[in-house]
Amino acid sequence: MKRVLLLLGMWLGMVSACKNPIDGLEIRFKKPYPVALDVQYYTAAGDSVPASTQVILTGPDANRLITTVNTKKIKVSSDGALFLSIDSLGLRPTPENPLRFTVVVKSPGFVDAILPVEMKSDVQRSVVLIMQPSGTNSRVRVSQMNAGGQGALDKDWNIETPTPILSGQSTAKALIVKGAQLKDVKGAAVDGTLTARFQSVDIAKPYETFLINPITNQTITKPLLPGGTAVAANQQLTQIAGAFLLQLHNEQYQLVKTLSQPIQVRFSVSPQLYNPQERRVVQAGDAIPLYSFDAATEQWQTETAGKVQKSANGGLEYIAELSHLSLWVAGFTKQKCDTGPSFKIKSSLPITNLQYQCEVINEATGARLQVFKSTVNNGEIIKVNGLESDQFVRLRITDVLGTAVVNSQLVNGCSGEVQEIDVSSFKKQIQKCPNGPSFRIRSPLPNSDYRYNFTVINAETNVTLQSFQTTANNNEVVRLSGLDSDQRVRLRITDIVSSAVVTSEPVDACASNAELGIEINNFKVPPQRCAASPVFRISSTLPNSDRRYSFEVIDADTKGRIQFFQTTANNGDLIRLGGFYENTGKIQLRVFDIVSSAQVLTGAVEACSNVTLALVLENFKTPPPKCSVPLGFRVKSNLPNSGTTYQVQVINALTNGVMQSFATTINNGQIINVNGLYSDETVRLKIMDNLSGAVALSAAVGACNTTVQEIDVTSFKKPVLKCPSPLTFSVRSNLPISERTYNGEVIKVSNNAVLQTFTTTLNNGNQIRINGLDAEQNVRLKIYDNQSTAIANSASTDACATGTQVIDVTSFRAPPDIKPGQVLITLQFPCKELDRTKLPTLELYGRFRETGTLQWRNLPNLAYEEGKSSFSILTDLLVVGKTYDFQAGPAPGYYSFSENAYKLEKADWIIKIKTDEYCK
Amino acid sequence: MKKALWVVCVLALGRVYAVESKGDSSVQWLPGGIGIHAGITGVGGHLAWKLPTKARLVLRLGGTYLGYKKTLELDLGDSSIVELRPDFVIGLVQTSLKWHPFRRGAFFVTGGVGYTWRPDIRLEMTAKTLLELGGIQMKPEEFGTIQLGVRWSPIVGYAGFGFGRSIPRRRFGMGVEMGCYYLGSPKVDMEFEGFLETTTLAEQTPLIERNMRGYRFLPNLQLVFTYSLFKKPLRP
Repeated sequence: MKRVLLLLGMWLGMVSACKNPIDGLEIRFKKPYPVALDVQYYTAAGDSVPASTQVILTGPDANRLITTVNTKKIKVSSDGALFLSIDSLGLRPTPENPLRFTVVVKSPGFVDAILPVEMKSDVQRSVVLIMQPSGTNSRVRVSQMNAGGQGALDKDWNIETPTPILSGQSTAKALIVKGAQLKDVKGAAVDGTLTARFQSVDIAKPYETFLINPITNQTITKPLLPGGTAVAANQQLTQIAGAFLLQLHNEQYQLVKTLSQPIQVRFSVSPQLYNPQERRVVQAGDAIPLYSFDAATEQWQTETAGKVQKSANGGLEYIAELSHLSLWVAGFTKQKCDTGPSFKIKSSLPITNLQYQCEVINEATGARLQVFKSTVNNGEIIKVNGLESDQFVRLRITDVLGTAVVNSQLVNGCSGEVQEIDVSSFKKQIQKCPNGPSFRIRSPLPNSDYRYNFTVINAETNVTLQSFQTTANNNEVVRLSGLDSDQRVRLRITDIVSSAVVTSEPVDACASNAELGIEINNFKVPPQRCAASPVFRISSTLPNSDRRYSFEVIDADTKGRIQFFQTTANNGDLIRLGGFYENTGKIQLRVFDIVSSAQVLTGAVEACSNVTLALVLENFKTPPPKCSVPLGFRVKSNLPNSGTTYQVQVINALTNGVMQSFATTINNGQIINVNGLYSDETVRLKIMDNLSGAVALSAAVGACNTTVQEIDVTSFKKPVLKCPSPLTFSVRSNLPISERTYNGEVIKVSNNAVLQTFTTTLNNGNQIRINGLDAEQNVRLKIYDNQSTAIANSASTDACATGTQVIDVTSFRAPPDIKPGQVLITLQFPCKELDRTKLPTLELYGRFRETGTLQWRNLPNLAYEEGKSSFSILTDLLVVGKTYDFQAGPAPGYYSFSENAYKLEKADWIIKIKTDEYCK
Repeated sequence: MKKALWVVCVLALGRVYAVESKGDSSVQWLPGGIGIHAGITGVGGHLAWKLPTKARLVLRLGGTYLGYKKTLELDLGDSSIVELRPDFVIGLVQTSLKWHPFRRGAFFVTGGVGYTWRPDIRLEMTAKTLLELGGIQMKPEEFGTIQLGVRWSPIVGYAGFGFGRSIPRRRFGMGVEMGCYYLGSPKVDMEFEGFLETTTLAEQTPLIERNMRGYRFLPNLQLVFTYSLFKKPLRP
């Protein structure tokens, strides 16, 4: 048995002596190779990516191509993206030793997308390629022909585009003659079974060929001049004869670049095609410029122009001979002028800062080519740039103060000559006069406080410019202001008594030094204030009282109210009236009883009469007396005594009208006395608790009741005692001064409840004031760093502490400075510092697109900075408020992590990483 | 390797035939017993010949099979599902020599050699859904395909011991056998397409192979049921 156990033990020992296979294994990301070429593939609609793609790389340097992580597993991603790098085994591409290769992408149902590439530097190239559908309805003609061992054609090869070169025109026909030798870009023969891709191209549409249309805004960018390397100015197509693409390759996707004999291409030309060089429609014999675009070098070339000739059917056709294969465009162009015309202003107007509307008018079409504003002071020169070679223009300036318009002479857009333009016919500028003329009143009348109507009128048009009222006593000066310049004015004064009118002499509106006399001799004496007014003596049988009665003075004729007032009306009281003018006329005084509906109206009396009349208060009732003692209410409360005041109202029990309103404390047993009540009143006391919304209402009681009433406020909530002053913290910080805000909390120490949240800046010495804290509790301040996981906690302190507490944030990490328009993206790990040795990579690659769009754009690399707990980038590519899709990964083309439809809410975007695996 | 195996088998049978041909050559080359076995390396059967020697030797020739190939789904939480496709086969033909050291006892020691046509285990892993990794998403196509494999030598050695006779004294017999296959040092194959392409994992294959040097042995523990093809079997 021992032997058996020994053997069994040996067996178990043998089989359990295994080591963990991944002991010591460290997985890191490879350092990616720089991207040489990135291609984004779309389908012809431009709104989706092709599925099931196959990538073929050919060409002399195809073996140098790798993925960005140095593998040969090259593929188009599900997003339609392809990333290629160049290995480190050979020379880097230079203009002298470019790298040439061809990227072919095949997808079922689509014509192969074949992109030749010639790289002359290490600069990354980004290309968008379009997969065109194949089949009978395809816009692309795919045709095949055999070429012999030297790349020579066995017979003529006629190819025709499936669609017209332009709407309403013929298709394009290409002829490659028998014996023509086909060579690739390096001059090697291209033989075997050749495939041609031939199609007409609408240059206005971006997704017509295998590559995004290289013509934007009808502009051919910096084409090389014929036969040379010099670069011409941008050419803008104005009249297009046609555009087409012709590509030839063999089974190995070896692309034909040149031919020993030119390819002849012909297509019809519209007889309405305008020839801007000849200023007429085209006719046989005209040359139409021709341009080619080499997709491999992304370079436009000015080619030998094709000719217009009579076609067999009597129309016009265009014939061009192509020496190589590219994208071709035939049409008339124009170019921007380097120097435009200048216009010198001739003016007799004073110098002003007024801006006049200037328009550059195309003579041929009448279109406004440019509109801008400029001053037009004498001698100024207005330069017009940005015009084009085929434009003849005039400068038109419109008067800003009138309707006058002046036009310059006709001038060519590219002429550098200076023309004179005369704006003397424009109106002089009207300005506000800082001060106007003065008028001294000459009056024989006695001084009066009576205010006359004054008007300022335009001396020529009599239009009223200003209107005001003032006194017009002798030697008084009336000064005008606020008038527009360039006019003469008169001052007009109207007499209210005689309807007489006097008008001054005209004077310049801005003549501030002028003082004109204006006589009002014809005016009548104005009404004077009454020297005396009637007095009314109250005759009453009622006992004296402090009750106030309402009085009303009315016009005896119109019965309209002139005055209203309240006062006592005890027997013998004198009511003295005043404030009347001698033209006030007869008045009456009316008084209203406060107990009954009785009223007394005196007889009519002259407003200026010095008489004393009796006013007998007939039928007036005796008003109830004022209570001799205050009405008391004892507060019944179970609240602790405090100095908190509550709003109290004395309510009329019959009408519920508020008779008195005041604030008072409501401590238990406290008596609230209400004074000033009258014996005929029945009242309630009402106390309101703003905290709970509760209302205490007493029973109705006679105002003069001497028994103390009870008011029950036991339904009121205990008043929360607030700290009388804010709790203040001083920030101790070594962060750079910034407006960056941090999240903070006020924590109740006893239960760690968050009492308040706030955001604050954290500049050293800043004071953080916490208002509205409840008393009788201890609190502490907690502030979170937004650059690390550091948290600052203050010491515990009484919520109502009056001194300045300290919150120390010196452990916070200094943030990058985010400028307006920038966005900071941070991958934040949950620790204070990352362990560099544990990090699988020090750089992450990302890209983004607006949600709902297809086009991805690269982000700057998310990089780790030594000593930080985050990866971050600062970019101005993103806009706060927009919604984006994001992708990130360890290498371009390997965007393993994605976040879709993320709305960028703020410029400081922090992505919190949950794992602490990489922390120190 | 295949040739070597056949040589072993033919020599063994030839030895049986040569010795037994001294007696009744018409029947002696036939096996003395047959057996079936089941254990941690699978199920199988074998034939047994008693060798006419004094050393109580028995020659066995047989095969074992164990296969496991199934698609499994691993839920990582947050609706993130990874699909695993393990592919594990033990397909082995082997011959072994069994020695009973004690005349009356059933204890034996044995040793032999075998051939396996699938000397590896494989695992393929893909993502079936969008993977949620700590708030960040990874699309299945970005996760890609991970193919892992461990490969051993197709010729394996075997040593073991146990109790029981391959040619039982009565008609039926049973026994237990423990042992170990020697597989040689494993070779690791890793193929990635997708996320792991970006890592240095492939460069660390030698380290994994070093760690797996101990994985040269495949333990065997099996129950054996035997049947004697002769009424009065010869004593081993």
